[in-house]
Amino acid sequence: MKGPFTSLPPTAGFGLRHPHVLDIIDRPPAIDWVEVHTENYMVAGGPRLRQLDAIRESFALSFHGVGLSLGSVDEPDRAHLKRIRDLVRRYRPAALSDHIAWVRAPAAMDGNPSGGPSLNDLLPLPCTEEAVNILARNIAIFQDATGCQVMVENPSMYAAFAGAELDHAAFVAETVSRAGCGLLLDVNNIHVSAHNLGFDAAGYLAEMPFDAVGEIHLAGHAEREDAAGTLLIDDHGSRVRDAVWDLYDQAIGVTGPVPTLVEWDTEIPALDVLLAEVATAQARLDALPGAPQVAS
Amino acid sequence: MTGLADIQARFAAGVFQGSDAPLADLVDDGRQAARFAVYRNNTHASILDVLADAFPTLQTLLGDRLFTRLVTAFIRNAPSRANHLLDYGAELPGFIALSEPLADRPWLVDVARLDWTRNAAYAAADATPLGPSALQGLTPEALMDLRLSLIPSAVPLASGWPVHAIWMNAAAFADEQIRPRDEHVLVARPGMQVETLLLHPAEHALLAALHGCGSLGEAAMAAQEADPSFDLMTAFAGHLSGGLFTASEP
Repeated sequence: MKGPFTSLPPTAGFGLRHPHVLDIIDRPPAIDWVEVHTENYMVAGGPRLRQLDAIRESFALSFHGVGLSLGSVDEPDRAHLKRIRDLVRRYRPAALSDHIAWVRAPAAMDGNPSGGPSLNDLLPLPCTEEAVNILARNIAIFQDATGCQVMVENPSMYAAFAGAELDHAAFVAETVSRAGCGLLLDVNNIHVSAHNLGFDAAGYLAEMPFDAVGEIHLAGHAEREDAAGTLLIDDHGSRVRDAVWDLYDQAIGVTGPVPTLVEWDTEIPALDVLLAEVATAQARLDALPGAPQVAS
Repeated sequence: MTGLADIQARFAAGVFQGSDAPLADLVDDGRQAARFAVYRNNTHASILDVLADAFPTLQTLLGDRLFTRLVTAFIRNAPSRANHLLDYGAELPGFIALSEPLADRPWLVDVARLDWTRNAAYAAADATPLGPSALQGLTPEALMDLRLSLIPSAVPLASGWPVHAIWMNAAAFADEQIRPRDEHVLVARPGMQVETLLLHPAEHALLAALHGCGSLGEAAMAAQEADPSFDLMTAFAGHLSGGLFTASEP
């Protein structure tokens, strides 16, 4: 079955981080939804859950995971799946997602009974049939355990593995198709990876399975110079760059209005700055042909 | 082409042990080492941030440079084996206790334990506290046989070091040779704020006995032994109205 992969409204929201939580509970801004990192709410009690209860009163929620490690050779951790399922039952998010990436190394690496070590980062995969098969298996387990149609996010990459059997775009498209899941299309990740690995961002975007896109991510990135050139670092620490807005326009030109999220995770600015970036995204959605006209 | 399991194991070894093995798996464009360094740095920097949040007193005492070295050694020896880092750091006090380079600062173990207990209290399960009226009408015998639990966030700590004073003003103790002095502390989150209270030794004996599932009578005895002159009833009533107790699990 295809889609809809999300029941978020097709408007712009932002990734809610700790410094803004009390602000938006006290004075809810005029947006429809926010996204939180699922792992931040895997607590037994205390203020975080209480705050999420309050946030849910004003906004639809998207749960975006960073820890399930869908690209690990081992199957997803059952305790972690259960925590996700419990949060889904309690908060009924309008969207549930994680990444095309791995976080935990194989348990066989050192035979620890608690499983492989976590690198606490979204790590790249080789573009191989084996990796696509593992992702498809793990995404299916994720969907079965939560009873949700999930989305997975295309990766940002600094290095590529040798021995690729598919190109980067085909690897993402094939994963989504074989897993029967949605695509969380991160256009900043496309720009960063294209620069770092030397492929054409617009060409990659054109290969994405647009009928599976349930959400788009926007974010800023940084430049790091070394002797051999510039690496773009996906640090979510600044405003969205023009080249990324161009990719966004290209994407929504195909998909039409789609839930769009601004992520800002380091050097987190005042809420006004973040909301201005959200308004820019919303203006681009509003300018699409056939979008509802805003009364003046 | 080698399998994904091998690639991931070599990559992790490159991040944790600093081995160069993963470079051979990457596309050879002359910049593999710089590219891989981004990942190695991401892992260490992100975990350092998490542990700095959880151990603010320890970080102030050690200073940034030494704290970073400690965290690097901890990550290498006891990496997280969960899909989130909310519990990562529970083993750091024990790791410090066995650390040769830190053996001349034995107070760090208890400082780290206090930091971690506060961190854990923030996310601990909520519970409905007993109100003062819950104990009304009990005979003295029934009261002494009563088993009360502390709320899940509450942990009484005893230290041979002035951990509460250090926690209150860590900067004043940085780089100091700290002199031993017994201190007793209660960490608890009766509402939404984590509290860190200095306890009288007898008060600690009372709460530690209750925390260890003793009856109120046993706890009162422990407090009397610690200090016969201690005003037990006032202290107990204060913690009761402060929401520290909950009905014991049957």
